Amino acid sequence: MTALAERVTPAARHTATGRPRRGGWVGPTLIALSLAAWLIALPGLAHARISQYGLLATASPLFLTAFAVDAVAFALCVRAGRFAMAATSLVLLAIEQRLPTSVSTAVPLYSWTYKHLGVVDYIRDHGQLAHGIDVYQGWPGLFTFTAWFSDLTGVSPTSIAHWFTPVMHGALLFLIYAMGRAWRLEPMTALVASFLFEALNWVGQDYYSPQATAIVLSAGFLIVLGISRDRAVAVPAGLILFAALVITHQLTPYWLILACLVLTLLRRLTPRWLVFAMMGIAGAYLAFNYDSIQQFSVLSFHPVANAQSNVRTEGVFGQRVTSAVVRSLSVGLWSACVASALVAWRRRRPFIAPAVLAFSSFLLLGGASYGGEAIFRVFLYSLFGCSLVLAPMLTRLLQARIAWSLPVSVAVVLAVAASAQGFYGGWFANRMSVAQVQESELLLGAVPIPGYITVAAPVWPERPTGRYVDFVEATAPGGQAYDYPMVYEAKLVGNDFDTAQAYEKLMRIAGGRTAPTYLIITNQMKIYDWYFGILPRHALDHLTERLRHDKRWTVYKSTSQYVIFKSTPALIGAK
Amino acid sequence: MSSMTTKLAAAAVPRLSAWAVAGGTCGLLAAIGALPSAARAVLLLAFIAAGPGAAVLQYWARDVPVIAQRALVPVVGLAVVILVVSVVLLLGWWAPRPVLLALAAATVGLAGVEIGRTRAAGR
Repeated sequence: MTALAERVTPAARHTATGRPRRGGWVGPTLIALSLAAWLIALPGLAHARISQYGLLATASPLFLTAFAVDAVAFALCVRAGRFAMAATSLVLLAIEQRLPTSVSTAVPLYSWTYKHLGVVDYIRDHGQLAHGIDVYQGWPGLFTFTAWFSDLTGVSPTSIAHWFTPVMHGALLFLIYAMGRAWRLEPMTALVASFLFEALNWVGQDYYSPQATAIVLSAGFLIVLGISRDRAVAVPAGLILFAALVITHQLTPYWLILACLVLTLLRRLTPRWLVFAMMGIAGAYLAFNYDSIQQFSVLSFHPVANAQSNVRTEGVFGQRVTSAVVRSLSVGLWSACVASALVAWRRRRPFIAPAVLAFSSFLLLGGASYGGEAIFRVFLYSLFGCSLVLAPMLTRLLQARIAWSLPVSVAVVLAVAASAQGFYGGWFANRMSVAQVQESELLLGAVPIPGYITVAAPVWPERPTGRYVDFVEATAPGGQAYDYPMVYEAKLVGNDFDTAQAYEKLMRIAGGRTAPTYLIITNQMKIYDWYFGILPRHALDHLTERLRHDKRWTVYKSTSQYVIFKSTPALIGAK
Repeated sequence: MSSMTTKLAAAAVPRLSAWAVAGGTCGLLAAIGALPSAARAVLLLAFIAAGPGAAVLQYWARDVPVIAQRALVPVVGLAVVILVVSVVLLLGWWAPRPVLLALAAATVGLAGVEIGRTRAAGR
């Protein structure tokens, strides 16, 4: 591998002669073909048949083909040293991979997105925060920004959330390229870094959320870090970015502090006081939010346990396949990153600082599980550094002899496909519908307090309006949340509800309450719980049947998508 | 990795300041409630993308490479808006339009002062 650098690469030949290489039409043609395939596949995505293997399995084969062809185009353009065409194929890949989250859905993906919109709604309605109610009210950066933008322009927060993912990725394309340049990568290599970050970002942390906003701000911060490696430059701008991060997200600033601390110890960061300034800002804000975090177990010094994901149940076979694919992809990426760092070390090229960025996020596992999400954040944060470390080797390999370039190009295409599987594997489980969102908003406004708006099992557009704060405030200290899923509270995960005992266990929960329960069961819930192995496929059908024949419940509302039962006084207090 | 582009434009100070003035003006216009929603959204986005970030970075314009400037101006602008709006809310004040007007005026003002200072230094 060390001989690669000495060989005259195709890109170098192109530069040397100043003439376009023969076959220069292949890249543009592949880009055009990829776009055409994607445009043909796009209209069918919204109506694709539900599959345990995700959207790629039942969408038009042209959908995945478009990604693969575009990845080939990118590899060829990098090989040929055609920067503009490589950049075009990168932008196209981002559009192809991320735009469907907006144009092929009616409302934002993921039930938990709506919790964020509830905070925005509360700010707009009350002109203040409900400090201490939950973590979102304590770290409100994105939510205050959205409320402010929405109030000034009239654009609804739901629309902002719906278009958030493609806009965020569009911004990241350029930010990661600029980060690569700031960290002294050649233009083409920086473009490859941007490609790696974009194409391998399977982790689905790019929906409307504080962490996605934090990723954008982090990219800006890392640009400042990159240009300040020899002499401190624009450090106050970096601190502005960091302060915005601190007020927006609970975890990301601490990864940056850890990374900067290691860089400072290794004498790879200027100015050295920067990390202390960062600690001061983060510490002060943490102290301000101390009452908010007291109710959560923040620290957990069990790295292995902290690395477990929050999906504790065993999903269907398709979910396990997707999970295996993304695990392989993650391990492959980290292994390639280690190999690239070793090559850089042997060639006496600088690699330590980018490697610190790549692997410092693992330190988070030493102190927090972050509700089972830490491992996803570790991957996401490590993508910054991995892109910087891996890009030089990948660029050289793509521009090397065909014996190297061909297998590497195939690996790139496979990695892009694997990442797409990771991103779209849970598509059907995570979709929401307009009817569900509207009903969730109506219900939250209509149910008197005290009352329980409880899902039988995940998943439902949660807490979509600011009135959720009133419900939480009405909950007795230490009491169960008004909307905590029944199967979790009754410890009935995996139950088929085919026995009276299981049903009565659920009833005892509702009967022990002093206010009516509005029990929600949806078709989407059945898909989600089946996919993640929370409940057998027909469990909620069995539960629905039992509820319909139980005189202690009435049907509050029933549609083709969901049914809501309301408990009667006969149930309340009947433990 | 080779050394990074060292093209540090000597004329960067007026250019970033000019961006800040243009962005700040968009912010002032976005505060006009009579404009259609789409127009206000475009103007406000232009303000966030070009205004506050350029006003901050104009002080280091000679040291920050052009590509980094182009990337940092929008993201620093976003950070400034997030910070200001959030801190104002945490202080118990929610007034989107006055906050926008103050931010936009500050952006234009800072850029104007810097342009004046640069011109005075150039004479």
